[in-house]
Amino acid sequence: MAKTDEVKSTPPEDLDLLLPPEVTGLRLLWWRVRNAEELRWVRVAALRVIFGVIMIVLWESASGTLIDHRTISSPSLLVTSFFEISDPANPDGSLWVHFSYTVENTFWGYLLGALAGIMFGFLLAEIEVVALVIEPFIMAFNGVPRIAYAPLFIAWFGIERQPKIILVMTIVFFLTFVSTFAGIRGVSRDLINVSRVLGGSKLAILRKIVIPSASPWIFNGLKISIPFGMVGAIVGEYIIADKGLGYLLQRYNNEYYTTGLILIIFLLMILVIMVNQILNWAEGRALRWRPTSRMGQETVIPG
Amino acid sequence: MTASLSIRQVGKRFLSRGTIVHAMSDVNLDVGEGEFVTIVGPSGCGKSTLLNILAGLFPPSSGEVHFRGERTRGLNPEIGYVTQQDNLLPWRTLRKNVLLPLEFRGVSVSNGVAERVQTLIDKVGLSGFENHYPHELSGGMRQRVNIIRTLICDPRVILMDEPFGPLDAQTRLTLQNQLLELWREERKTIVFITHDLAEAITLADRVVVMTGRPGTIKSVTPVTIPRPRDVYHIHDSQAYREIYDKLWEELRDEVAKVM
Repeated sequence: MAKTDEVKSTPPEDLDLLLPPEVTGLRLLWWRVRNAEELRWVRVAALRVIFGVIMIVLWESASGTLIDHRTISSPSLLVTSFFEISDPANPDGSLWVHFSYTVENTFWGYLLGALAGIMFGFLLAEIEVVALVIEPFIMAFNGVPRIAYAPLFIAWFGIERQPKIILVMTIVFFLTFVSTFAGIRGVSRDLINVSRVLGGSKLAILRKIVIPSASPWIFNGLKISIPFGMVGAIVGEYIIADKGLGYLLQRYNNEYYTTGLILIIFLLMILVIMVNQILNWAEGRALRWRPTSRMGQETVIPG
Repeated sequence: MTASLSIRQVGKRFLSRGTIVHAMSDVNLDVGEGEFVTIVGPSGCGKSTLLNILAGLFPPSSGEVHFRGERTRGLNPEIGYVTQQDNLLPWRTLRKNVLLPLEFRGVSVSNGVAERVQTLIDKVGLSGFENHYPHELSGGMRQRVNIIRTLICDPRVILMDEPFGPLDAQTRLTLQNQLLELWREERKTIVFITHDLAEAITLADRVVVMTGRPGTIKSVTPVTIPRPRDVYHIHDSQAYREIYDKLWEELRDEVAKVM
């Protein structure tokens, strides 16, 4: 039987076919490094490192010469104060005490919020009437900047961990809820009808069609929730706490300790990137079937 | 020939933006066991609605559908449905997509089943692509997977809703040819909707022309061209041209009304 269609993928081009004729020696080597498909990531990584180094050098040399080092600190100041602050003998508590306090609060808030968000997303997407009735209420509650709720949560739940965890929870809940809901609502009607005709029971269709269809949306909700959830923990600590990175930010701010502020910002960056990488990896494994894109999926950083 | 499907006085009304739309009314048709019937008509004449009713996705507003003498209620495992969109699961490989209906029916994949899956895959020329994902296949290949996914459950009746509509002309001919071969071997009853008159004549034992909304049957024309048919050259025969002219004559008025 004749095959008229072809598979869409094409074999990689033989690089030498593209080789300009007059290139030789060291220039040839350079040309190969620049054009080899396998070296793509190495090239990007190398350029990233170079970019980072240039920024650090510029920063270090500008600090104390062009701009006062109390305003912009400097990389070397950051390193020394990092060791100072993270010393276990630090009377204010080591940096790691604060760090783990914030991470724990974020983790529990994130876990509980995400579980509740996904469950509610499924439930409401299946029950049309409830979804219609409570939609405006949810949107109203979610529309208010979360910091406005923080004083209330503190009044209700005290000044310990609970209000911080709950603040994180509410943020993560809505983001995962909305994305799960949208994901399930977006499952193609045709696909479900076809599955019914093919003999799928309601449960089997949920397991084999609905959940896999919605999973890219759910993952997306989980990913955008990370930085937003962290905002919740930090804001909670910023308002009132005696521990946590938010508390440190607030204290250093009062003391005009820029080096400490910048240090914590860097710490938060590293944390978000790490968690994001873990989720990207999990997503990549769960959604292996998707056509691969060149760029990794990055999280949205909230303003 | 005994009737496999009989459609008795079937009509469908539904509510759209506050007005009642008569999609179809008074459709009567008997489809024989093992018969290949094609349906043509202007767009919006309720062809797809008719197919959805036959598949049991929703009931008719009036009239009845009988399958092998019994009135149908809801979905029927003996009736398969091939849609215009391939509706494959993008997270499953070709082979796993074909296995889906068996999983739904709780059929364990024994040697016999695996063999049948492979035979069907080979028959439509997809060997070597078993572990490809849908996004790695062309439109024609995906539609073939859609068809064998329906065949794997061995239904008596297969409903097809413009299955080759989105494909290019050459691919379409190839698939028509394969469909005729599958039909000859498996002896299914097929009800096939198309907007392509040439396709309708090439495939059918009888061609049904439907009128514009509310859709009803305007004529039923037997295609006497002997089988097996050569899909690539059938257009040259005198019999084909006569049927084509007659059907086009009927269809033209209906299309003009809708325009």
